[in-house]
Formats: sequence, structure tokens, C-alpha cells
Amino acid sequence: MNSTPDLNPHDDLFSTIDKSYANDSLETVDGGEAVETAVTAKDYCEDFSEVHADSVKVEILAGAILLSVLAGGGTVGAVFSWFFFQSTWVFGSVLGAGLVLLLLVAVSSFFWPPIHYRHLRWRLDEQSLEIRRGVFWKHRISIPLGRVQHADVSQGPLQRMWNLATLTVHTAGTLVPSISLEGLEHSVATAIRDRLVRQTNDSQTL
Amino acid sequence: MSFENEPQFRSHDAPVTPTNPPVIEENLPSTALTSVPSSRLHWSSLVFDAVSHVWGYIIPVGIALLGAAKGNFVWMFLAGIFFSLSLARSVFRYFTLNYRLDGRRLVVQQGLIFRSIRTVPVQRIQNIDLVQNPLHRLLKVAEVRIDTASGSEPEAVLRVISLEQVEKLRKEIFGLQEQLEFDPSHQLESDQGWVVDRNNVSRIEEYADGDGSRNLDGGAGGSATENSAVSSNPRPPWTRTSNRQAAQSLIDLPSHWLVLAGLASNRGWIIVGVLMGLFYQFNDSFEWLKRFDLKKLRQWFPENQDRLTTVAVIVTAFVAIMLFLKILGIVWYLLRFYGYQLRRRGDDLQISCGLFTRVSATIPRPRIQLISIHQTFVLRWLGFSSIRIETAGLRSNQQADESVSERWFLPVVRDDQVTDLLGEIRPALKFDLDSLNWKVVAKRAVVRRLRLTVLEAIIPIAIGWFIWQPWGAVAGTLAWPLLLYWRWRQVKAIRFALFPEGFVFQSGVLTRQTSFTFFEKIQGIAVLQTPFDRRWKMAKLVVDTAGVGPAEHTLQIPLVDYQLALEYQLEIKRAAANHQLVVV
Repeated sequence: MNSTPDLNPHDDLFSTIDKSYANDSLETVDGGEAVETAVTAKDYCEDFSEVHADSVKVEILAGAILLSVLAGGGTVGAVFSWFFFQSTWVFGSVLGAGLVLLLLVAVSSFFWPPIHYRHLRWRLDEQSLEIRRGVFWKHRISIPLGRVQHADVSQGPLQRMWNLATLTVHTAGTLVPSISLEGLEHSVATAIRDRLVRQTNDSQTL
Repeated sequence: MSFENEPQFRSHDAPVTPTNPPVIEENLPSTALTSVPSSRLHWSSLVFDAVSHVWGYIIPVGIALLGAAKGNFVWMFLAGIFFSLSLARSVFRYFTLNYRLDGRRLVVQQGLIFRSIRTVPVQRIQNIDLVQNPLHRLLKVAEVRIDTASGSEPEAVLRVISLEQVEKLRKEIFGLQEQLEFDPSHQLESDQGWVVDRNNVSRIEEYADGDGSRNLDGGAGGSATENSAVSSNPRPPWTRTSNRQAAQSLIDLPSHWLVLAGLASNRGWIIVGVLMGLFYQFNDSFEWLKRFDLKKLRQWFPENQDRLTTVAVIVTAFVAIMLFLKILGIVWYLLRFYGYQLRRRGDDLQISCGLFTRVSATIPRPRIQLISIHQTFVLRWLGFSSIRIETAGLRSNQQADESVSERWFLPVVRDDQVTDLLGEIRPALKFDLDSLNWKVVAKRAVVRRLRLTVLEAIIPIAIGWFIWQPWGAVAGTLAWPLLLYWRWRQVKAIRFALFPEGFVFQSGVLTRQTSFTFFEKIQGIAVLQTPFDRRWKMAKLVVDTAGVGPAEHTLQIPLVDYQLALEYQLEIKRAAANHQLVVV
């Protein structure tokens, strides 16, 4: 029953889900008894798929742009401080602080995206959309399929260069009202969105 | 319409139709409007509007008066202009607002040049609620709120119309609803496209069973018809048979319970807080308070005071203040909940209460997202609880706090009645706390919390140190065991469980809170880990519902063993995916 998500052949992925969805609905669903756990918690941790690897490039490019903007601004600031104060001391400290800041931004924008990417996973099965994210503060959020109020697919200019997209899922919940998954391939994002919205139309709850 | 004719599953490429039709705001040609007789508001609505304006302008008017006292009449002038403008607006509203039943719709029309017309389909009207303050009652009028399922805000508010008109409106609307229900050709256009799947059907039948079995001994005949109606001919979710059924009284709160609740509560302090806030806001107008001299207190003390008398006077004063606060609390409870009645009419829970201002509110049962039982320390000792509920919808926090239908759903109730009442709030709920398979927090959570107290103990030690150089710190250290005990009890009080219909969470040492939600109301399940959690192999399990906070107890369980949290996430997720009840 578990889908075997791959990065590329998502056509297969979604056809599997559709079949299992149809089967699932024919099963007798016992509303009452607590559901038996055939799948153990250990299995549950597996089978997650990553977002598209190009998302790292998008993040790094975005970081690089931020970095160059900062560097440009910093240079202008340093030159100004040189002309206004005519003091090596002020100039030196501004330059030093600017360099440290730049270094921090550089490190985080070049080293953080791969780490972030490694900790961002998702899974769509016949019951829910699940997202795992977070490097230090870890979140594992699972949204039952019928509960999605609406889902957005958005694309930034950089994401468009690699044909990636961000999926944002909104529920009626109040503690976790929405979660987003950035760096999905655009076709995957729209496929997930269509799947989620279809299920919601089939069952309206509130 | 029946299940046999309805497609049970929508095919996947079916067009997406909106399932919840929005209330139409339209501009109809005015010729169509004159054909049906329409009604006006009661003349006294002008008076009430004026009163509410005076109330709304009380601060600017106060400032203006202060200004006038100092010889500056500009503010007076400005306030006068604004006040008369808003009065003119109400007069205009009074003369242009009218409402009528036009075919199958209730139309509320307002304005002359910019005309706003609000159209509410009669079938979607869930209830007609009234608010009456003493002045309303004197004039035999009421503020009418017309509710639909769409949200928390009333769809239309008529402020105010006479009680005769209310009765007429009620009869017409509910009569029309009944007619429409028996005549399938009059179904709303948007009924098409409503899809019910297998799970839903089984769910509704469960409901029907529960109702039926309860009524074998209960005896209200209305539910039997509802029962058969559900299984053979399900209605579209927003038309309900409620209105033609007899109301069944669930509970009346006797006044001495309210007195008890008032005694046990700290409401008096809140009133004091409000007074303090007012004092600081109008600091200038309370000049006389500043002249109040502490030394004058002396005159209240006996002349030849010895130590004993002083202590006695202080103690008496303290007791008197406490007593006064308690009396305030009792008064608050009595004012708000005097004559509290909870009734059920079909799927509607109806509350009415209030000593001077009577409030009646209606909660459609299926819209309840979360039920929370609160037991404060004193009330628990006396054997009482209070029940709060949460329904979906956006509303400001303050409204929710004051809401009789949620925050004060059942202000006080005897413990042995809770189970029966829960069965009425949620049909067929068999809820036995003792028989549940409770899970508790991870064993190492105690150690983790107790270690944290070492850090927490620094605060009382530091405070003690600053107050009383060396010995205060010792006193602060002595507070540590108390803190330890407190934290230990807190951790031990947390427990959670699955029951056949949903998830329940209990916590709290002094005030015990037991909250539960149902699988079809669960919007998401999250397992959250902070770096510390990860070190201790723990997580926080969060069960999200659409309820908006008046219960003040969210389903967030800290310190759960990580593996257990994952297992519960899996189980709840599955159960939630399988429970998809069609209700609005």
C-alpha cells in the first residue's frame, strides 16, 4: 500500500495512490475501534521523499544575491564613513563589522541550504500528507487528506528557473493552520495539490 | 434525494462545485422588492441606538466636558457634531431598513442611495436568537440574531423588533422550512454536487442508533422520526428537522449552584482589575482619590491601640475585603446565569440565561469541535465541574471569552451529571474516563522536569537574597522542595488516551482540565521536537482542531516518549482519515 516515492517517476507515484485510494474506500472502515497498527512506528519513519535537489541551488543563488546586495551596500557605507569621518578608527570598525556580517551570511547561505534540504521530507499516502522539517527544531506534521481547506502552488522567479514550486497547504486548524513545502518540482506540487483538493471535495467536514 | 440515487463517490474528474453556497448579496431591481409586504424595526430601536451611541462616545464626551470646564469649547463642539452625525445615521437607518420574507429568502434591505440587500436562504437559517436587556423587556422588544451555519457571526441582526414581530418571523421562517423540507422540488439549487461517502453513511447511522437507544428510556417522540428520516431520506446537511421537534430540557441550574460557583471562582478579582484599569485610564477625573491620605486610616483604629487590636483590625479588614470580592463573584454569576436552562431540540443545543439581560444562544451539535471539562480546586472538592466547548469560526478573543455558548457553555454542573450531559452534547458518546487505556508522559520526564527546577529555584533564591541579605536566600532555598513537589505533580497529572470516537487529554493539578475532540474534527497531527526533546528522546504531540480558544486548553501534550508520539500520530491520522462526517 505504501507508495514508493522517487524523485522522478511521480506518474507512477500518483497512479499508485489513486488505486489505493479506490481500494481504501471499499474497505469496511470501522469508525469505532482504535485502528490496529499493522505498520509499526519504525516503518512509519521511512518512505519519505526529498524535495527536488535543485532547490539547494535556488536557495544558494538566493543567498548569493542577498550577499551581493549586502556587499554592495556595505561598500557604499564604508566609503561614506571614510569620507565623512576621515578617521581610520571608524572606517576600520565599520569595515570589520561589515566583513563579519558578510562572512556569516555567506556561510549560512552556502552551507545552510544543503542541511535544510536534507531535513525536509514529505510523504503522501492514502490517508494523509506528511511533512518532516526542521534541523534543530523538528516538526513532523501530518494532515489527513479530507481536512485540506485549500492548497496553493506558488513559484518565485528563481524557482521558475529550475521549474520548482512551493506548495502551501491550509487547514481549518488553529494550532497548525498551514504548512508549506518549498522546492518541489512544479508538476509534483500541482499533482499533490490536485490530489488534496479532490479528496476535500469528496468529504466536507467541519 | 436519497443515498440510492446519489453517486456515492464523486468520480475523480467531476467538476468542482462549491459545497457551501455563500450568502448572496445582490442588487435586485427595486420593482421586485415592493411586491412583498415588508416590516420595519420597532420605533424604540432609535432609543437603543441613541443609548449605544452615548455609551460609545463616553470617553470623547468626558474629554470634551473636561475641556469645557476649562473654558475650551472646541472639543465640546466637535463631540456634538460627531454625536449628532451618528444619531442622524441611526435615524436614517431606522427609516430605510426593512426586512421581509420573499419567496424562500429572508431579505434585509438598508439604505436609500447605496442600497445594501442581504439575502439569506430560509433553509440555511439555523436559528433565531434573542437578546433582551431589562429595557428591551419593558418595551416588549428584542434584539434578533439570525444565524446560519456559515460562521460564528450572525448572518443578520435586527436591532430591535417587537416580540410580536419576532414570533411572526419565527413562525413564518420555520413554517417555510418545514414546507420546503417535505417538498423535494424546492431543494436549494446547490444541493447538487453534495457527495456523501461510505464512511459518512455509517457514521450517521451510528448517530441514529445512539439516539434511538437513548430514547427508549428517555421518551421524546421527536427523535424517532428523526431516526427514520436519517436512515431512509437524509436531508442536505444545512436543513435540520430541529425546528419541528419538541425541545427536551437537559438541565436547569438552580441558583444555589451559581452561588457556589461564584464563591469558588475568582471573578471578584477580575472586577477589581477592571476597576483598577478604569482608575488608571481616568486618572485625572479621580483627583479626589489622590488626596486620599494613608494617615487618615489611623482614625479607623481604636485610640489606645495595643498590638492585639491592631492585628484583629487588620484581620477583620482582610476578611471583609475577601468577603466583598466573593460577593462580587457571586453577583457576577447570578447576573449572568440566573435561570440557566439548557435544552435540546433535535440537533440544536439551546441555552438561555441572565438575570436582567437575558441571552439565548444556540449551538448546533455537529459544529462542536472540542469539549473541555474544567474542575477548579474548590469546585472539584465540592463535586462540581464546568463544561466549555469550542466551535469553528473566526472571532475575536474577547468575544469568545464572553460567549455564553462556548466559554460559559455550562458554568457549573454536578459531577455525576456530566456523563449524561456529554451523551446529549455528542450523541451516543460513551465516555468512561476510568476504562480508557491512558498513556502518560515518558518516565524520564519526571527527572527532566525536576532537573529544571534547579534552574527555576534560582529565582526565589535571588529574590530572597535581595530582600533580606543572607537569610532570604536560605528561605528561597527552602522553596525548592515545594517547587519540586509541584512540578512532580504537574508531570504526573498529564495523561492522554484514544477512545472509540476520538482523543482525550487531561492535565492540571489544581484546576484539572479534561479536553477531548473527535476524529472527524481533527485537522492535523504534529509531533514537535526541540533540541532538548531530542536529547531526552521525547516530543510534543499536538492534535489540531478548528476550535478557537475559549476552552483555554489545547491538545498539546508535552514530554511524550518520541516513539509513542509517533505511534499516536499514526493512529490518530488513520482514524481521522477514516472519519469524515458530512456536517456543516
